[in-house]
Amino acid sequence: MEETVIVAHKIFKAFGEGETEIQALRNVDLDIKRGDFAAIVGPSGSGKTTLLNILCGLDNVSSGEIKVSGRSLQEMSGSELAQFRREHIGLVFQAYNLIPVLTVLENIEYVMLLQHVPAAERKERVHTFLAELGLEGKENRFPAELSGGQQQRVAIARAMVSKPDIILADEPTANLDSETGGQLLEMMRKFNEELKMTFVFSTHDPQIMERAKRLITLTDGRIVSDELK
Amino acid sequence: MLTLRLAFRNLLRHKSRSLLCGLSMMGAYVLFSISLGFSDGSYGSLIRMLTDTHSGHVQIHSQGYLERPSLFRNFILYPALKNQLTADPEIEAWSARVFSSALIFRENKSTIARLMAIDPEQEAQVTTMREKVQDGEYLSEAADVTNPILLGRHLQKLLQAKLGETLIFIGQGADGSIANDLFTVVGIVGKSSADAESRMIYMTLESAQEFLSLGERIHEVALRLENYSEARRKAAYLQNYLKAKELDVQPWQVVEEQFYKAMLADQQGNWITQAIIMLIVGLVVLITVLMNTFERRHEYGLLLALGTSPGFIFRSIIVEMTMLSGLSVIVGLFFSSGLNWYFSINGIAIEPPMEYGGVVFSAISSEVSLFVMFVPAGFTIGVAFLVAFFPAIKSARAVPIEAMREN
Repeated sequence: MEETVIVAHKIFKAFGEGETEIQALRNVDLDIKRGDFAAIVGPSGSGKTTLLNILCGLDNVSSGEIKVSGRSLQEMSGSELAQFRREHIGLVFQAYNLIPVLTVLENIEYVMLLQHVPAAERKERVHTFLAELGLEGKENRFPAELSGGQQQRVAIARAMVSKPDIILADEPTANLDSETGGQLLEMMRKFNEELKMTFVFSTHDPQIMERAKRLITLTDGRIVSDELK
Repeated sequence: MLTLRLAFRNLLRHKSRSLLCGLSMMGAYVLFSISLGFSDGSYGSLIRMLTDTHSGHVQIHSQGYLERPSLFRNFILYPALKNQLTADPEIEAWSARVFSSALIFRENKSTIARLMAIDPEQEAQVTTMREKVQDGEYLSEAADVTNPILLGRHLQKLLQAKLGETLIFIGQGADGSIANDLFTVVGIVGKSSADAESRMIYMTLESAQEFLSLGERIHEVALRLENYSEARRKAAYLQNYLKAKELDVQPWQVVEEQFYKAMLADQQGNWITQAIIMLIVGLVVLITVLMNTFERRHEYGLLLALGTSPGFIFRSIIVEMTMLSGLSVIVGLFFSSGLNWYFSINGIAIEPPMEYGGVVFSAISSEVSLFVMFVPAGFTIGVAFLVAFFPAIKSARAVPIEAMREN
């Protein structure tokens, strides 16, 4: 039986109060298993990004419970959540979000530095990912010197290199052309199959939907379908 | 290491802003250091001038003499104490003194004058007594003259006395008798009537002790130390040694209390000026830190999202500002040391000379010392640290998702 890495139970999230209240998520129940390659899809405003933010502890729930790798996120303080994300979760953002003052190499090894991974191991892992993602020779460039596709590769490498339990990617291909997006998806799918890494995407991208093993559809803050392909 | 790297790269990110902030801190450091250098240098000169011309660094009296000087509050400089003072390596020289007043007569002129009796050779090692002689000769050079005296310029004019003339002194003897004797003018002291020594008469210790029927008794011993800043410690040490003898040992700060208090009040005024300089620096640093942290809110959110601890973000902001202030201080150190060194040698003349606590002051000069270099450095870095503290805490406590929404 596959191990469950995320358990979300009756997640409710509202923004604002009274007449201005917006219910972004309404009693969402969700399990993510180890090795999943799942896409959360739905129209804009359906709650995809909110759900992803809640699953990694970047945002709080109004009610409900979330456990990631067996630990309840609601019970953690800000620093504990930061430490938990460092150890267990890799994040990929739509806008790449690389650290502008660090080089490609430094961005990739950043989380490992926080984890105090020994230098030799860091170097080996970074170079493996640089080769896998076609970034060799660009180690010492700064993010501003890279194309969007290259920056997103670096962001993916940064998320995966520390070997987290799960990678959450918020519309990772939204700012990329379809060819570059397709290449990156293939890479992530490869890592998923070869290394059994767990991926959860929020997306509108038909390419991701096509390649996902599992499609979770959100509408108006509710999961309306959850199908394995 | 990562903190340092991030801090350094962030400093280079907005070069003009970092340069402007760094220059402000450097300017403040240099101003602070020079102001402190001049303050210390000028007070140092004043203290040296005061102690060199008159008081010495430490004085020994009979109990109560400092508060109420009297002919009868005297003591014998017994051999053991003499030996102790002579053998002490921290005491460069010492001089015994007697003080009194007398009526002075010359033909049909008369006046009251204050007398100070000294051992000419010992006194010349403690103070600049020998240099005070403007006309005639110093006491030790008039060995063949009976009862030689040095007459103050003001008294000389009043009595219309000339070198070699004999004056009549009448005073009170320590044994209750009327003291009277003849004294010969061998030298004139004081450049003008305004000088403190112009109203004084200096004589040898032996002739004063005989004139005043004091025997071997004296009123004061003035000590010259290697360093005037050691006066308090040395006075306390000697006081402890001399407690049983009912002697009172005081440093120059107590002996010249009026001067010392005026100096302290003046120094406090300087600290207010220096605090204003630091306040201006603090505002410049605050604006820079606020601009930096406000602009980087998104980044701090990202770092927190990636698992960076709030403590790391706090440290990186503090390290960045400490690094900038440290670099500013290092560069400023060269400028301030150069300027302080130049002004310690050349000084700035004051025209006309001013009087301060009884000491005439004709130039102000600076000083190069560890205090002058490192106290402003500590303040500059400390202000940068303090000002960066609260924005750093605020950034470290940012809610990642809210901070990331800002751009």
